[in-house]
Amino acid sequence: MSVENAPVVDVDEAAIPVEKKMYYRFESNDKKEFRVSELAIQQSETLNRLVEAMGYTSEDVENKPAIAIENIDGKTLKLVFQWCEHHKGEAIPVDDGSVPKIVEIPEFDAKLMDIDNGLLFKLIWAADYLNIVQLLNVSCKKVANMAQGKTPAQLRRVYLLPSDEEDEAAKRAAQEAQDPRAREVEEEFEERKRQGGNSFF
Amino acid sequence: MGNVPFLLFPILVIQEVLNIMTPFELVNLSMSSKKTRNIIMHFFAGKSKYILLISVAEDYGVTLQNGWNEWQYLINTEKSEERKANALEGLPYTAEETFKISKNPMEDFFQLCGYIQTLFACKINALHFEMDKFPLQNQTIINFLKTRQNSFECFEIYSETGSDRDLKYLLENLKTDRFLTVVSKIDDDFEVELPENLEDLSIRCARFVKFEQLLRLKSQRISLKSSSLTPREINAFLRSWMSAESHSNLEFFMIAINIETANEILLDIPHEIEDEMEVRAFEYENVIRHVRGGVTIKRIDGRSARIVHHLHLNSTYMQMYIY
Repeated sequence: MSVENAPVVDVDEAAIPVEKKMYYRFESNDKKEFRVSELAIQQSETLNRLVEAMGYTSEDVENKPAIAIENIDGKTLKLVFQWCEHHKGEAIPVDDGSVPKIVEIPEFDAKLMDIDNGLLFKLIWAADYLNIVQLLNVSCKKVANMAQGKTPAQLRRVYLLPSDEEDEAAKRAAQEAQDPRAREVEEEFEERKRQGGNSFF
Repeated sequence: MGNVPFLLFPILVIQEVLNIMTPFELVNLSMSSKKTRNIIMHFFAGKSKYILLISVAEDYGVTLQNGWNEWQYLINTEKSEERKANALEGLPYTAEETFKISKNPMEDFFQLCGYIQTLFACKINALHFEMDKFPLQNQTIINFLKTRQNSFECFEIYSETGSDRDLKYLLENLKTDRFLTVVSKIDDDFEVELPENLEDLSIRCARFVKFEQLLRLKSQRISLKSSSLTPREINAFLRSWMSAESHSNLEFFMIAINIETANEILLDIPHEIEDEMEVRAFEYENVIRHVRGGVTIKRIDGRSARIVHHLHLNSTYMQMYIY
């Protein structure tokens, strides 16, 4: 199934499915609404527990407000639910303890994740928040793959890592933002350490 | 390809990514900043699944191994033509290597070894030491290894020219708990205390091993591929085993013998002659050896040993399989 054909749609753009399966309604933080099958929801441990706890009937799903997912936007949630629909019914993988962990990215997932890194970043946060194990596996694999053949300097750029100097500067700035008296005490302490004293008093 | 702010991921996601990365990628990531180094060190602290293999051979080598998979750093002043031609492709497991050209390979080797051991919180498991390769540096290397840890699981020591002084220095300063293989030219009057309680002890030039020293060895498998012991001494060794006075852990023993005097070894020792047509299999360390004929002797506690002669490359060996 291609990404385009995955059965996740914005509610105002597609017809309600005619099957008698239960479809839950979810709303992103930018008010986009999605209908997601009960089976697809099982890929997310968080959502699965949530809907089980709610105990909705088919009528409830239609009559009550959509379940709000406050911290995920519509663009990201659409990808998440497309992934869940495509992989519905599949077993949740269990970590076999292999190191390095072996993860294959299926073609569908590779296409789904052919997105800019800002959106990939949000997708991973969403997969973690919603506890979708296999989506987290493949998206982390994509991030890990970015390190292939890279030098430490290249990795700093790929992963936006601050250099040690930048870290030090940030630490100093944070210190300066502290209470002036606390900063004075800290500086005095550092000075005593430099002079060889091992106790502040 | 754009960028992702790695450190802004939740800690569980960071751990997941680290879990997928290969050791080479982890080492490079750790070198990109103190923060990533600390994260990786914290990630592996107390639960590393890697072991470290050290080799001093054609090149200096530091290998991280997990099961059959391995990632090897090689360091030398230049890359040999032979190595350039070797490709690690088509193997049924992961075997990757990366080569570093260095002006001071030994120092870089020490640094890398220490760095990787600290980063992955792993023990140096094995040492493959070809003492002829950097002979002036052997004792410095041994001193370095001594600073890293007290004992190792496995030593494989090689020398074609003979490095008795360095071999003695190694055996006196480093300790192996399980395996010792020495493939080195060794003088007959070489004196050193061999580790006693190993799983496997194998010495190619073992003429220096005298009878009293043999009696002190408590290893499970002992192979002396040349020997100065007389048939009478080997006879005394067998009697000592039969009366359970020594070698209570012995599973396998092999010693070079002189075929002309082989009959003297069993002189006055009670034994049963086995059927030449009957094949018996013995398994040690996942290796099955098939034995035909020979004789069986018994120990006073009921254990038995099959003794056979084995001809290999113009040498005759007495092999003893205990069961």
